[in-house]
Amino acid sequence: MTPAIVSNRSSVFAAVLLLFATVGAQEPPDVLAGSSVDRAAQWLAAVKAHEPGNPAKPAIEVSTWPGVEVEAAILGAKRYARSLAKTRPDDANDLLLRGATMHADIAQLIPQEMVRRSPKQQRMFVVEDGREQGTRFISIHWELGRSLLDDISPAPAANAGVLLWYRRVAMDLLRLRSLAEAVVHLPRGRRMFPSDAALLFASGILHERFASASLQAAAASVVAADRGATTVSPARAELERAERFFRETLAVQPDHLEARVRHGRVLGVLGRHEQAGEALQLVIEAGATGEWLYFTELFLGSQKEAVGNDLAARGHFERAAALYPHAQSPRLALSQLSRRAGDRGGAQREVRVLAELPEGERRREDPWWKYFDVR
Amino acid sequence: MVEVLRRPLISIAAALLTAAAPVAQTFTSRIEAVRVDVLVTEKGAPVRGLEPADFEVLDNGVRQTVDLASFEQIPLNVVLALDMSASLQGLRLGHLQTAGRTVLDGLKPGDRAALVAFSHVVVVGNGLSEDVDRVRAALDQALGSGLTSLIDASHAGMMIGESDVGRSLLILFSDGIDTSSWLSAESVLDSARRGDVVVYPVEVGERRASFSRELSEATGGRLIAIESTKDLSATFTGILEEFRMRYLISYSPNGVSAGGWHRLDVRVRGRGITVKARPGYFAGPVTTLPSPRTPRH
Repeated sequence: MTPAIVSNRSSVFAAVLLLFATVGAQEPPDVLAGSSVDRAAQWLAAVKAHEPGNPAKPAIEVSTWPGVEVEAAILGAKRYARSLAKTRPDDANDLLLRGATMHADIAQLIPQEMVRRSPKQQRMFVVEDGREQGTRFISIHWELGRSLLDDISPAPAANAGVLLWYRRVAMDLLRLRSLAEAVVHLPRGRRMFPSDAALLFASGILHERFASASLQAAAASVVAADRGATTVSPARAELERAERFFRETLAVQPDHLEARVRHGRVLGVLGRHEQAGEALQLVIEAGATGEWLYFTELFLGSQKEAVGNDLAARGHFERAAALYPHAQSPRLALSQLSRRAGDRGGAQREVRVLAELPEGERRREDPWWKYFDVR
Repeated sequence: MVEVLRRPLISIAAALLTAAAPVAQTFTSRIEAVRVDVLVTEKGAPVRGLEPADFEVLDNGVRQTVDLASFEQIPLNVVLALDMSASLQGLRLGHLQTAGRTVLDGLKPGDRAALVAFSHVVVVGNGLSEDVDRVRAALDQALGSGLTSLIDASHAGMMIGESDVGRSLLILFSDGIDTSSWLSAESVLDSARRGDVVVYPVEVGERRASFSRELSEATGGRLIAIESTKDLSATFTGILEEFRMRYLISYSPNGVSAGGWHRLDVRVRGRGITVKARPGYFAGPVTTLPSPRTPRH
């Protein structure tokens, strides 16, 4: 991640989105020649010194190694861990987990410009406001972390630390909008933990986001410009995947409120209005509050409108407007509803309300703009 | 441009319908007059001097008598809906502001203007105003940032532009497709077919939004695609000039039902003449449950 991506979290619209590109990896221009230094020993020292979430000098040093050297160090560390596991399996697992944590921190927290490139690195497209803005290399350190955890004994799937690592990285990737890496990370996690609600839910969010207008537009522009291919499927296919993951999340964890809201929305966009309405009604009955109640009211309004129940739709949109009085979406929804009913004056009144709202993004405060982001 | 004037009539049938389906507000209307905004050109040049008798209008296939064909006499309502998303920063934003000012400078006494500046935030001013300086000041203050709510802004622009007074033009500038609207394209196109605003979308860059094309077709406007904003002022001026050259024809519908979709065919007697008008209009409120639609959300 570049500093710009991380530091601009205060404004969700300043950050970029990242898509996986299946274009072939190119030989990086700045791979250093191999070194005779004992990288494995240095790696062990760096892991020992690493403070999770706060990469210090040893981790930064590791991040500067060429891919071939860091991979050699990982192989050496794995050999050491296997040897250690014969007598002290917990210590071996702890070493691997700490190593995976350090590499995830390197991938996430150290600016990409400082991270050495490997011949194995793939590129990802950088996307902003539906536009492809060039490519970057995907950090090798996510994969190095996963590779370390593959050696956890007796089996990674039986280790609670591995599960926590996969969950944390999944949410970090979505939060950072590093969707290219999430495409790789989530299936690996699900293979080990197929019934984990957090990983299923994260997978649903990923595919719901792939179905969004912004990413669909970006993917289409990449293809149209003959710039390669992306892992983004047509919107309907992505929505169907998202629906399945949210449904599976709820099967494991029926009280997962956010999954219920998103499931309801996706069902509605797929045209399954009755099921969508039922799912969203459950959210209301569960006592949702704040922005998730706001989303539920908006989505329910949309469903009611879709089946021609404009009166009920109006009630939901009005409740959404009451929850977030500065939000523009419910006002626009009410305006459109009035116009469709032939009430031009009512439609214009709602738009005039927009003129009274604060102009700035933050003061306008419409949660809809951040719906696809992970909180 | 279509302006449908209605007089609500109470009917027993409507009352019964309301009782049976309490969720739908139901009443009937009688259309008193329909106004249609028409561009008539010959070899690309506007045709002047046409009289009502020169027009042939079919409303749902039924020939109508045109009562009025006015040209250049009616004041304009011009709404500028301008994409101020992040990609418009810098030179492009400057071109856009200059082009907007050019349009405002081209307005005549009695004309009114309004500004909708949008990114993901749709900022509407105080509605149509003859105080062009106020609109100009709002335009000068606009900054480029954020995502693109093209569809939301289109709806807001049309609602601001709809008026019983004058003829309404929406110049909708964008450099890309929608990425953050709440409203669906389908619902806003539906609103466009019920209104009287002619939309001229101007799109810069390689990407083409099908929504913009459909919106221009639904309202009888024209989609203008440009590669650069360098000559945007000339583009905007051209739109204003073309809009002034349009006829506003009016007729009282005869032999057609009041509600629902009315297909329009507008022709001018004479060879080689091209006529551009909206393809139809919706009259009356929704009186029956529509078939389920797929919403965006």
